[in-house]
Amino acid sequence: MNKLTQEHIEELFVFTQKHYVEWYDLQSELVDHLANGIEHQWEENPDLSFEKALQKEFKKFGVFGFMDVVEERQKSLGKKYSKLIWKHTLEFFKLPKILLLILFSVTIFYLLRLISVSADYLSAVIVTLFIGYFVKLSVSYYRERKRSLESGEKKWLFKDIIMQHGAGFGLGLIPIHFFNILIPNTNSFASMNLWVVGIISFLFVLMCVMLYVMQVVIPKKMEEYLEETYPEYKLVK
Amino acid sequence: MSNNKLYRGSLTTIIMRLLEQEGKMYGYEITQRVKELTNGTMDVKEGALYPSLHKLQSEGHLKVEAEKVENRIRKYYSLTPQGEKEVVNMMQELKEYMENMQAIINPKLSF
Repeated sequence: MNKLTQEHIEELFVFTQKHYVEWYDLQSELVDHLANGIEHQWEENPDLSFEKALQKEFKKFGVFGFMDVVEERQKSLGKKYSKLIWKHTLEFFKLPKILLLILFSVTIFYLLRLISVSADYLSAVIVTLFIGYFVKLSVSYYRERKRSLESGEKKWLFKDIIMQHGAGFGLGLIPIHFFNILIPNTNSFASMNLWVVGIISFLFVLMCVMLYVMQVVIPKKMEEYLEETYPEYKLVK
Repeated sequence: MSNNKLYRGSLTTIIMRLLEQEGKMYGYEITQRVKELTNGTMDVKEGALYPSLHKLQSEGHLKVEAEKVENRIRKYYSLTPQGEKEVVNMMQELKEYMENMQAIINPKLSF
């Protein structure tokens, strides 16, 4: 019975790459599938060329090719990432970390009460922080991408998601629009309702905690999460 | 799921049920097994199979193992304890669905 050679397998990897599957985790699963299909066709028709058998097998994926597979995988790993952010953020609501959370919130609260600056300044600070954050994220992602392309190492979808902080979608979690509702334009914080200032301080600290989780906590445990997500990670690393 | 859109909503139930019976399977094996069981009348579309498998995995119903087979890596899916509970619910739902369809298509006449 005809079996696929190592060269064929490598061709299949290139084939998936050409059809917009960049990540090794998805590539390897699709390659195995295509390979099984081709070998199955050869059992019935040993004279069929590799190319023809491959085209026939690929057609079974439908008009969108591998797109559906990639999209669903991105969606489900994106959800997994959001859950991770929440999990680590919620850790700040337990002892002893909650003390830090309270301490920072109270500090921000008093700073806002003491300094009778206009709320516009806080908005400006937040916007600046965000722009800085996006620039830093883009630059570091671009560098990492270049590095991994040059070294030819395998790409893992979940690693990319962690590196890009869920493509910045992680920020969707942060209730930034609350600031717009809470901060009326001209008031200074000193004259605002205490509760409102309290909520603003807390949300501001919460936002910082989430950024810290995305920036430091999760990347630190990246290897662990990749091994948990991908059973093949250890096999090929 | 190819030949009929009626099958489409049942794909996850089919996958879960097969895994319950067979233990662990890989994607291609599932497509072949479905063909075999239905004498070639039912074709699981690859473009739908893998998204479903990945979704079930992320929901915690399936777990995945990897093995090196010949010159490639194969991913085997199997039920998690949570998935084993879920498959019971799914079969119950499917049974109710079939009974209801039966009742609509073939109403019992009463006098």
